[in-house]
Amino acid sequence: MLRRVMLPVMTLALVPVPASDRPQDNLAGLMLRVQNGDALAFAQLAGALQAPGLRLADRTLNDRAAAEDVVQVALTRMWTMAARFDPGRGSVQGWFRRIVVNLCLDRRRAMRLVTPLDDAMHIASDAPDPLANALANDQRRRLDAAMARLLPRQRAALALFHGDGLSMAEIAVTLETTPKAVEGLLGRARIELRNLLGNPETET
Amino acid sequence: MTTKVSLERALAIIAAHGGDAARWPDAERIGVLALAGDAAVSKAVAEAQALDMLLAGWARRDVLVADIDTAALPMQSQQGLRHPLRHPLRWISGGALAAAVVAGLLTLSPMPAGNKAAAPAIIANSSVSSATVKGEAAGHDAAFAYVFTPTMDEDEFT
Repeated sequence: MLRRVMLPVMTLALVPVPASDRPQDNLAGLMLRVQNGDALAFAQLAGALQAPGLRLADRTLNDRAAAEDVVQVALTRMWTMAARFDPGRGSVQGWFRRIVVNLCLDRRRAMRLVTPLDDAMHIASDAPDPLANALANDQRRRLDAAMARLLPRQRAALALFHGDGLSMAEIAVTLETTPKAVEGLLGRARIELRNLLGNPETET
Repeated sequence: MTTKVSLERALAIIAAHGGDAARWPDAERIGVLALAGDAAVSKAVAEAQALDMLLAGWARRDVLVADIDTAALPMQSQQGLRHPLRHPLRWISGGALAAAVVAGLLTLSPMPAGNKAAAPAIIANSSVSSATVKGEAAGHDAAFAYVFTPTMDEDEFT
């Protein structure tokens, strides 16, 4: 009885994972079906891409409502422009990420400040009481306020590098620029952030 | 072969890539590490690592998934590629607004009684272009919706 139970487990461990079981291949398979007009496949694909797309848009725009708009338009484009997707040129995630970033950078209103840095200093903490929570919340508000001072393109680069773990080359593809330019973009963004975070008297 | 890295270049790499050596350019990693004993480099690495932690937390912070009806998007896209609007004026282009203003001025402006009958012809022959108006007339609205971006002023309508 024991052997009958263990055998499938050992077999599973030894058999390499088929290519079609990898997440990126599943998405590519769904995309292929979407290209053939399969609405059910689109719903599955949209479900898989919605959260990462929303996170990227939210970080880039610093505006939740606008981020939702962007993701909705990006998903719609994914459906209507499915025929343009070429798996030989990159992954579905990369293609969708590029659509999201392009839409984000296309919205000039995203450059408005959300919370002025000085104002963030005076927002009361809604944490229960502990000092650690208060400090963490304060740091988070200050970071958000500092982020609001950056350009959407800088925030997109930071989100892609620190959130998605993309390389300079991969970010360059998404932002349609060169790796060298991305390095400069990230460098300036980080220096600006450090200065903003280190200077509580920064005027808005 | 390892590329020798100048102090200035090492600081630029740390400033852009952060304090994690694994994320430095492969060809320059050892060169930067060779400068680890330099006070400026070690200070830059320490500061970069602190910022890395903040940025990782910011970038990976959870988001509440939006309540987007993905099943409805294909049907919506067949109705003109438009997503739900907050305000009907939101997607009207500057050209369309300009055309509306010109049309209004031409209609309201005082003119001799004998020319009133010609007013519609004047409007119809107006050279004011409107991508939206033309696009809808020519059935190009779908393509136009792809490329149109509302200006900041138009966003104010929402």
